[in-house]
Amino acid sequence: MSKPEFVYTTYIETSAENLWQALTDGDFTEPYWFGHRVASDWKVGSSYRFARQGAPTNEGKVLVVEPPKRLVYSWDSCSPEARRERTSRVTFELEPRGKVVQLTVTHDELDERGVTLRNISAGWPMVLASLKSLLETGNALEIDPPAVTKETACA
Amino acid sequence: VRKPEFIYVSYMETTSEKLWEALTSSEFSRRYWFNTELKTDWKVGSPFALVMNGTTTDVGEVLAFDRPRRLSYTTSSTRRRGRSRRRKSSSISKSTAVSSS
Repeated sequence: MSKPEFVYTTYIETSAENLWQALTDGDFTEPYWFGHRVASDWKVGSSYRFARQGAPTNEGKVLVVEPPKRLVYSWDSCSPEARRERTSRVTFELEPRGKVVQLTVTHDELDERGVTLRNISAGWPMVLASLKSLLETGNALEIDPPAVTKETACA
Repeated sequence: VRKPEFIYVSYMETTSEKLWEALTSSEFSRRYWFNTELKTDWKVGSPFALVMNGTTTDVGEVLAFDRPRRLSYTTSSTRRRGRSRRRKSSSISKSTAVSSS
C-alpha cells in the first residue's frame, strides 16, 4: 500500500453476494451513497462512473473484479480542484465471517494533504454507515450531505 | 494527539442519549461488547475497569464525562502490565454523530 492511505473496516449482517451487488449496481448505490449512481459493465479495463442527478462526480478504470470477494478501481474526482491530483485507487475486500461479512475499504495512492484525501476521509464513514444500515434494516441513513460542487472536469 | 492513534467515525440512526447509554451502561455493553462490563462511577478522576466474562482485562481512569457529547478514559491492559512496568495508556474519545429522520 502506498501512503497516505485510508482504511475502513466494518461488519455487515448480509451475504457477500448482496454486498457485492450493493457496491456495483447503480439502483443499489443511489439510496445509500447519497444519490450517487454507479455505472459500469465491471469488466477489467472498463470504465466506471459515479453520477449524481446525471452530473458525473468521479470515475476511473476497473482494475480487479473477483465477485464476491475483491473489487479494485482507480479513482479520479470530477471536481476541477481534485483533478490536478494523481489518480488514486479504491480496493474493496469482502470476507464472510459467520453470519456477517467483513468489509474493508482501502483508498490509497492519494496525494499528501490533497483535497481528495480530505474529502474521502469524511465521505467513506458516511457512505459505509449508510450501506450497513440499508443492508441490515432496509433503510439508508439520512445525513446532511456534504456540499457538492456543480463544476465538473469529467467529459 | 500522540501517534500512533486509531480514529474510527460512524453514523447511527439513534439519539445521542441512547448512544451515551450504550457506551456507559454494562447492561448495554455486555450485549455488543462481547460480554464486557464497565466498572466505574463515571466521575472524572475515578478508576475505570473493563471486565470481560468476569475477568478484568483493562484498567484506567475517567478523563471526561460530558453527557451526551464526549466521553474519555484511559485504558491499560492488565496482562501487559503484569509483564512489564511500562504503563501504556490510551484515551478514547467518543463523539456522537447522529442523523435525524
